[in-house]
Amino acid sequence: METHTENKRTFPWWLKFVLLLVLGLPGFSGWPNGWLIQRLQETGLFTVEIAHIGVWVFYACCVWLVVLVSAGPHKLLAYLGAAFILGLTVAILGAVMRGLFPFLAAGMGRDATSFKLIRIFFNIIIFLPYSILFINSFSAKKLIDRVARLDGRYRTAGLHLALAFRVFQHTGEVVFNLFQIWTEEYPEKIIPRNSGSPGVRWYAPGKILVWIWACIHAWIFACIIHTFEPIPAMVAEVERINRANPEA
Amino acid sequence: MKIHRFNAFESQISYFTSRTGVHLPRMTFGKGVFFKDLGRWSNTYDGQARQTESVHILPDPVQGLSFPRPLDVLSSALSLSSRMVDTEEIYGLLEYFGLPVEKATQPVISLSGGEILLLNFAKAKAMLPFVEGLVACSPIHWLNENRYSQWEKLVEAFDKKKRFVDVALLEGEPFIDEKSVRQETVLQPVPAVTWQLGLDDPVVVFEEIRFPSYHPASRIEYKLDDGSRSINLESPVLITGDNGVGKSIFAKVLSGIIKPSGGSVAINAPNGSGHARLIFQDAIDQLFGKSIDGHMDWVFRFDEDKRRIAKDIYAELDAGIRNDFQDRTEELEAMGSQSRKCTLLQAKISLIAERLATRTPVLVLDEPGWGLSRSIARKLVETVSRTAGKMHVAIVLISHHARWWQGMVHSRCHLSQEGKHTVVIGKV
Repeated sequence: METHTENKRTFPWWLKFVLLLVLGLPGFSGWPNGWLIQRLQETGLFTVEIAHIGVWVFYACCVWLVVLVSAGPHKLLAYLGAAFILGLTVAILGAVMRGLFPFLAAGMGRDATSFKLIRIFFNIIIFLPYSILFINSFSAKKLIDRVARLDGRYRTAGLHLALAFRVFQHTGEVVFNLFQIWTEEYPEKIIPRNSGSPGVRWYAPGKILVWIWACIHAWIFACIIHTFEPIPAMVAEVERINRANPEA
Repeated sequence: MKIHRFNAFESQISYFTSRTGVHLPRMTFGKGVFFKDLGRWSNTYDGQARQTESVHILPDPVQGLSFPRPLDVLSSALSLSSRMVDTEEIYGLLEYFGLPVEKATQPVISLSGGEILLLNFAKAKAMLPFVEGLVACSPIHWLNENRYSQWEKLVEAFDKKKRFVDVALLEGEPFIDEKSVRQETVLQPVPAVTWQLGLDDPVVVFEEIRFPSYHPASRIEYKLDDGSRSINLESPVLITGDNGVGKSIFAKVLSGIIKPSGGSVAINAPNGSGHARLIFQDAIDQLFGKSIDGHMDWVFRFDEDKRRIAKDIYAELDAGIRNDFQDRTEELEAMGSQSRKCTLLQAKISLIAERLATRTPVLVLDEPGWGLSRSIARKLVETVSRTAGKMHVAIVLISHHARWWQGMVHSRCHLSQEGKHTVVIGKV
């Protein structure tokens, strides 16, 4: 059977885990990116900012390549779409807020503030696709099964962690569903469908900020609510697995 | 088998919670009540409390499936009573309930409502050696009549092992005795809206999934049965078809949520062309985590005029339904309080009113009877069709229960599978 044989072609979980950890190493430890930036600077050809950007762009391409190979072009584009929207929103709002409230960037020069925002932007566009790939690369079911067969004090903590892992995975499913609902309501995605009332210009400077803020707010709460909604049913399921595997 | 019938979705949920201990936070009141409900559950939850060990089919059956793929769901269910789970056993269970084995690796969220229900049946059967019984809400609502036997097979298996089966239904809801139900009539004919649906061989492609496990790509191509490129219809139109044939996907194509990879779909209606608006099967999700009024205010934030029109339409629909139930207190109670909208019915009326206010050419109601008693569902669709008719909005109903809408629909289309990838649409 095709699906059956294809299932067996996937990597063992530990190999996936190690490979993904290696891929994420620059994010966790800064190495080897920090080392590479230093080497580039030492050549005298690059400023520290250019070296930083060059190395992190190269690293971003490596992460995206892995996502492309693992998940396919459509998933990569979807993740990048979400990551760029989030990254740009955070960076632009960050710049606006720092302009309006200078104490947020107290002690930092103008260039340092801009550079920090660029770093935040890069972190989002690299680590959002990476995190989604990481979370969805492992089977929550297998993890719960393994933990439920443990004895001792790690069992309860392990089951809680496994459940939290599944809830994280479920967020991806929720976003997929919410995106369909959003598309039905707002076919243009970022423009309100009902914006034609006489004398009302939704794109007036004040209103557009209200609209963007309301969209971010709506998405955050919709994601949280729909992710949390099945938790009682999931807990009941995990409890059942727990009862079926009594401790020795 | 014990059958309990309720007038309102909310009563059905309360019964389910009391019977199983599984809390379902309320979604129609907005985030405040949702988090309060979740907090209450978390504070009172006692994992060690001994509930009767039972398998559950929830009103929205997808909520009973905690894992992302059928393979995981069934493997987990089987592992409750057996340490070694054979993949062939999983495939066997899927086939036993009429699901193709290819579905094993398809994400649960991309299965149709009926397929999700059948997967719940397979899960229940897999858990049979471990549980004392089955508690099921509306277990065949999303099934085509030819699939009712799958439910009977499941009940038979539970009976044979002397396990209890507890079913919570809404009044008049289809059940295995559906065929003997009386003919329905409407006193005044529903106004007809003539419109045209154009189909230029639209193809919907579902990309392959590569992780965490592989699922091959698939495609659906929609065609008209007579080979023509368009079909003339009179609203309200009823669309029927077997589970998993692609009705809901077709509705999403009509409403522009899914863009065909090839070909096109065109609507030509009195209110113009463009995409249809859609009410999903599980309409509560369309509130986007907001309260009923909160959602309406949010959608019309920049359009006071349409908000006023939508509120007027809401009042008209609400009054139309209430008038017919003047002497029936149970139905009136099921409709909910007029001062604070909170029921599933009110959520549906609000979402419909919002869509009618946008003067959409076509409004698609996917399984409009879900979560409603038969009398209320019929009255809702009848009232909506009348109001929509006055506004020249064509109504499309997608439903497995053709009998529910007798005397109400003017055209009927049936979707059937032809070969592996083609779905043929024919006028009945």
